[in-house]
Order: sequence, then structure tokens, then C-alpha cells
Amino acid sequence: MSIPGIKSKPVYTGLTPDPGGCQHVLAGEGPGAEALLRLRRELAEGNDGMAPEASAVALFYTAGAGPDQGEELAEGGRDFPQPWRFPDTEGLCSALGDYLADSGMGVRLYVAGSEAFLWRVVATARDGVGISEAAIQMERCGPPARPVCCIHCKTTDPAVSTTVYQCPGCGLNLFVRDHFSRRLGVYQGVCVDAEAPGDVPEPEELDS
Amino acid sequence: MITSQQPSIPVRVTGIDQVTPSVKTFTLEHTEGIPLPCFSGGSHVVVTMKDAQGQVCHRNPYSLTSPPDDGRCYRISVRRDDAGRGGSLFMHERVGEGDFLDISAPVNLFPLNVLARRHVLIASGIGITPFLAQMHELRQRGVPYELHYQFRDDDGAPYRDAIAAREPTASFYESDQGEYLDPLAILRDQPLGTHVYVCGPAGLINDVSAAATKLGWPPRHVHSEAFTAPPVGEPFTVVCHRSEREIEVPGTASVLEALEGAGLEPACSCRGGACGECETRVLEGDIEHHDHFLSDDVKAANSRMMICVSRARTSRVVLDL
Repeated sequence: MSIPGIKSKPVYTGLTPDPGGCQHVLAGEGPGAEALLRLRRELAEGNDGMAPEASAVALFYTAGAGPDQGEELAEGGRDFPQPWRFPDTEGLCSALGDYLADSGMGVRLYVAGSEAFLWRVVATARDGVGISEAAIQMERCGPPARPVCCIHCKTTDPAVSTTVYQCPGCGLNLFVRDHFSRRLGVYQGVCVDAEAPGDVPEPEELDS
Repeated sequence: MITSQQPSIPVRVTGIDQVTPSVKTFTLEHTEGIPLPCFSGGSHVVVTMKDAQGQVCHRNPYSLTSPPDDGRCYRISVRRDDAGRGGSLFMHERVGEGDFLDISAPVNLFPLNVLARRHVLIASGIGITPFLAQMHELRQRGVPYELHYQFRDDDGAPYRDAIAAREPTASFYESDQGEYLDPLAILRDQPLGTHVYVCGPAGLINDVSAAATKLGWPPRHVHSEAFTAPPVGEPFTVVCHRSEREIEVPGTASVLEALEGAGLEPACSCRGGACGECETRVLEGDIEHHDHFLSDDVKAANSRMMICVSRARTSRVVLDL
């Protein structure tokens, strides 16, 4: 049902160490821990022996909707930076914002988790602290649920897994468009039966 | 109404100030008294100079230094370069108050990043010019910035006193007094969201870029005013393959200027090897590249050239024109 060729739909790649950075900040949610573990190992292995000091790597983690892999991130002993763990994304973003506010231009931010988490962290770092998207990498992990904003009542549902879905704010049946706002971090949900009320197509799973 | 599509804007020189022994500032107004387009800080115009016979003899880009939102006049500052190709000498010796010139609409290849939280401006000598307009813009927008201004001595420091009086964030470095700016020290403790801009000789641009890289700055946060005057060199012949013409390029003119002299009108904009507008396919011949636009791979392949600044290494070059 999605329309190919929508340029605003983000394309996520895997996290890779940016050797140009001096300070590496990792933020993850739920199953994003796996991506952070892999990245942390690659950072420690270094590039031509240029591995950053453990003190130049920081980890922020919340289980989110789960699974909680915080224990796995804490393993590895003192050779690895220990994660700061938070009960929810709000707490993580608040601490991350404070941490970045004291950082300099050599920071690289790596984010792994659900799509809603990725863009919540980007908003904290970009709009709150001023880090540019050039210094941020994202890897989407877990089920392909999307953050969608209802264009009618502006309610955002952070994890929509089907198009069509019912808006939790106004109850309209919404079609999920692939148009994405990097500023708001949401896709658009548009009333699907405005022309013929009650004529609502069967919901389809969103595959990506 | 003046738009950027307009080929040129006729202006009258309404004022000339000698700001240092080697720098003159020209005030330009539209010949019909209508407002000039507003621009963004960092923009330049290309000034077309004509000799006594009305033939075009020079076309040089100059940064606009006047407040960007003031359409009553433009100001440009020209440093006299006795060893150059003659455009700056023409401006200094042949242009007087009341004279007419043609200028292009403003083009900006050195704009401020609108999302930046802080701006660090680094100038050397006449490289101060784009920052004069940019500082107007930043003051108006209330965005934090700091200026670092390197020069040899007072004579080589246009607008030093005016800047000192108006800009509390300015630092001055006089190399004759042994004072040199230290890019690492300037960039080290800048907060996230800072962008740095350099305008000056290649050595300074390289030093600032190297310091930024060492401190981990993302490349997109480092900006430099890249355009340079076309270099002089050996004469050679350009063969225009499609229009079947042969044109001689003298040692003191660029390919673009030689083509224009022959009545052709190739696409171009900055005339300094920065914008990419005049990119031309090379069918035969080796190229001495002087631009900041083509990638190293393309340059090595000799398959394309920027005709505004690059020259032939061979006595003959065939272009897809």
C-alpha cells in the first residue's frame, strides 16, 4: 500500500564507528542493545590501533517496550564503558541532553531502537543541544512500528504497526503515508474514509 | 524588479574611499535609482569592466560588504594587486566617482548556516570582506559569533578600527608584531552546533581545516571562501568540437575569458572555480586543474575541466563545446 519513491522516508543503515570523532555517545532502546554491543566492540577494536579511550565512549540505555538487555550491556568488565540505564525514554533524553551540553564539536551520536525512539533522541540532540544530523547515525531495531501523527487532531501514536489504524486521539480511521517529517520525527496519518464515511479498507501490516 | 536571472545590473559609482593604502571601497547605486536586490551575507557580485572602446577587459568577483538588507547601495572593497591580471588595477586607477559599471546579481557561495548555534569567523587581510556583511546579519538575528582577524600590519587591515569599535567579540592578530591566530586554540572549546568560516590564503584555510579535523569537527561544519583569481600560465589553443572553432588562449586570460572574447557565451557564475556552473567535458588534452569543485578522481582522469580557472598542460585542448 506504500507508495515507492517518497524521498522523505528515512533509510536506516547499520551503525559504524566514525574515526573522525573524538567522543562517541551511544543511545539505545530495547533490542537496540545488540547494535550498541556490536558498535562498542568495533570501537574498542579500533581502526589501525586508533581505538578511542574507554572514557571517550558513553552509553545510554532504556529497555523501552523491551526486551531489557541492560545486563548484557553491563558485561565486559572495566575495559568497556558501563551503561547508564533509565526507566524510560524521557529520563534517558534528559540525561543525554545534559551530557551533550557539556560536550564539544568532536561528538558523534549513535542511536539504536524503535523509529519513535530514534527521532526522540535526535530531537533532544539536534534541537536541544545543536548537534547536526551530520554527526548522528541511526539504526532501527525491533518490530517495524512507526510514529504517526494524525493530521486532523495532531495526536501522535508512537508505534503504529498497520495502515489503516484508528487514531487514539480523535478515533478517525487513518491511512499511513510514507511522507516523513525529520523535524517532528513522524509520518502522516490521513483520514481514509472522508469521502465515503464507513468505507474503511482492511488494515495491512506495515513492513518497514 | 531585479531577479537573479537578469544578466547584469547597471550601476553608477557614487563613492570611493581609500580605506588603507592598498584597498579602495566603492559604493555602487543602480543607474536608475531603483533599489538593488537584498542579499545574504557572504554573497559576491561579478563586476564587468570595459575599456575606453567599450570592450570588456576584466570580470572580477568581489564580496558585498554593505548591510545585506539595505538595497539603496552595494559596497565592494578591492585590494590593489600589482602582480595580478589587471582587474584590481583597473578598479583602482581607471574607475572614478560617477563612472558606470555592470554587475551581476548577487550570488552566495559562502553562506552562513542558518541552523548553527554559534559562528566562528576567521579572516586574513582582505578576506575580511564577506564577514562585514555576515556580521550585520548575525547581529540582527542575535546569533552568537566571534571574529578572528589576522593581518600583516595596519596597512593590511581594512576596517580594523570600525570592527574594533563595533564588535566586542573581535580578536586581532598582527603578524608584524609576532601575533598569529592559533586555529586549535580557537576551535578547541567551541560548543556543539558551532560552524567555522575561513576567508584568506590557502595556507590559513588548510590550517583551520586541519585543526577542525583533529578536534573531530564534522566536515560540514567547516566552510571556506574558495574562489581564487584565475592563474596566469602558458598560452594554448582551445578547439571547440561542436561549434568547430579554434580559439587562442593567451597566458594572462582564462579559457572562459578567451571564449567570451571570441563572442561565445559559455555558462558560468562564480569565475573562481567554486560553483561548478562552467564544468566542461574535455575530449583531448591534459588539464592543469585550479578549481575547488571537481573531485580528485575526475581531475586525474582529465575528462572534465572548469574553464573559468583551469588551463591546458598541452599546447592544444579539445572541449565539448
